[in-house]
Amino acid sequence: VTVTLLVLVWLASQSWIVRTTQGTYEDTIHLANAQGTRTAPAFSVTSRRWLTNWTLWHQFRIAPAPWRMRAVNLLLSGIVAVLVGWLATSLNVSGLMASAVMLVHPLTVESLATISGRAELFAALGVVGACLALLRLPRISGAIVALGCLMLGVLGKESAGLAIVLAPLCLLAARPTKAVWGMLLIASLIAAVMIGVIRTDLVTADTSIHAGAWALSQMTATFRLVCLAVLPLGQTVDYDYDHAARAMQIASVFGVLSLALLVPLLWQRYRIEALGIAWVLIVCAPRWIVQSPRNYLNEHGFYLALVGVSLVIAALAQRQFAHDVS
Amino acid sequence: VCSKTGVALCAIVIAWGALTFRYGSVWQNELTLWTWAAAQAPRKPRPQVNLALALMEQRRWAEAWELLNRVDSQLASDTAMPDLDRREALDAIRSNRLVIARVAPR
Repeated sequence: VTVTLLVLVWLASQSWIVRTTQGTYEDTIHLANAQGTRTAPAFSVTSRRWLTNWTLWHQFRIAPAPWRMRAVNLLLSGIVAVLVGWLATSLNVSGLMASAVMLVHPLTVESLATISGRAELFAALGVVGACLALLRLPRISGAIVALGCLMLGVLGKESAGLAIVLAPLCLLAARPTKAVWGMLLIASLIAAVMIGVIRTDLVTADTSIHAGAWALSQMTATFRLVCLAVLPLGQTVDYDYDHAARAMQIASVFGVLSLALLVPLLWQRYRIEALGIAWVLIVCAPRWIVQSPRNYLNEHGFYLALVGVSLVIAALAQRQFAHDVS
Repeated sequence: VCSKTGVALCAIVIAWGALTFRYGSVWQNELTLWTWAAAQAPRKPRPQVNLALALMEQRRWAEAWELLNRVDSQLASDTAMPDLDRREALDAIRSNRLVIARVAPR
């Protein structure tokens, strides 16, 4: 009954998709040229986000209406939610609550609304799949499947590369052995090198801004999105971070640092909550360093981080249910 | 589910669902999206310029022209805006004004 109710709330809350009359935001880049004539989205086998572009390209030929594109995103988000529920269950917290967050939370809207938001959905599928593979399968086959999921995710969006760190972290939360600590350490070093390479690859002299100013804006964005995850009011596609008050920026830095401090403090007694917070910070942290000019961390970029939020909420719900029963 | 916690969680999920539906409806088309975004960030040029574009698509030339003028005068007094964004916004304002001047009926 609960699952049926959840599915009904999910479909009702996302029913705005059928009211779509026009592609919006970045959709126009994919769907139309300047004259308003529809053309197929750009695609080549060497393109970045190959899987995302490939599916868009094929769907454009079969069912090009924007609402159909969004409906496919909705279907993918349903699969992500099921996998997140499974991940939560594997970590002994409420799978239903974790799925509920991924299905109906308002921060999911942007990933469904833009057809290019599909990249986020593929990245989340890859990362959560990799975590599940390491947790549920025997060592060798688990590593092979996790690698496959990682590649699938990276073909959707490059942020899925964070599975290198997130999957061992999940394993550590479930089975904290010295071997897993070692695996996490090596994975973190690999990820740091990768981020360093990407950083120097992206930043150019004419588009870069001072690293400190960039980190401050991105931390403000991160903290705002964390606040929106708790209280989703005041969402927008293009928040004005350039005019954010200095007090808000300083409060955001303290907020983010406090969250980082909570991870080791909570690790022993509230491990899944600590895992969820660490997940959010790990997903957002590369954006504090890697400059993508004039592209602040936005709501669709937070979709993968929302998995961490769902784990925190699921763990808190589980704890409260256990308290009710006792 | 029937415990206090269960009822509270159900209420939260339903509230999220309602907010999702409300915010999702903003994404119905370019005009609804940028009207919302421009209201949320009145000092940021990009949502305003995109709103002007959405108005132009609907042939609401006078409103678009007025909006572009307003953004232009806002930019002149804005010191917080990064140079690259300012240049981009000014370029967009200039090209859209040209389009209106060429296409809109007198």
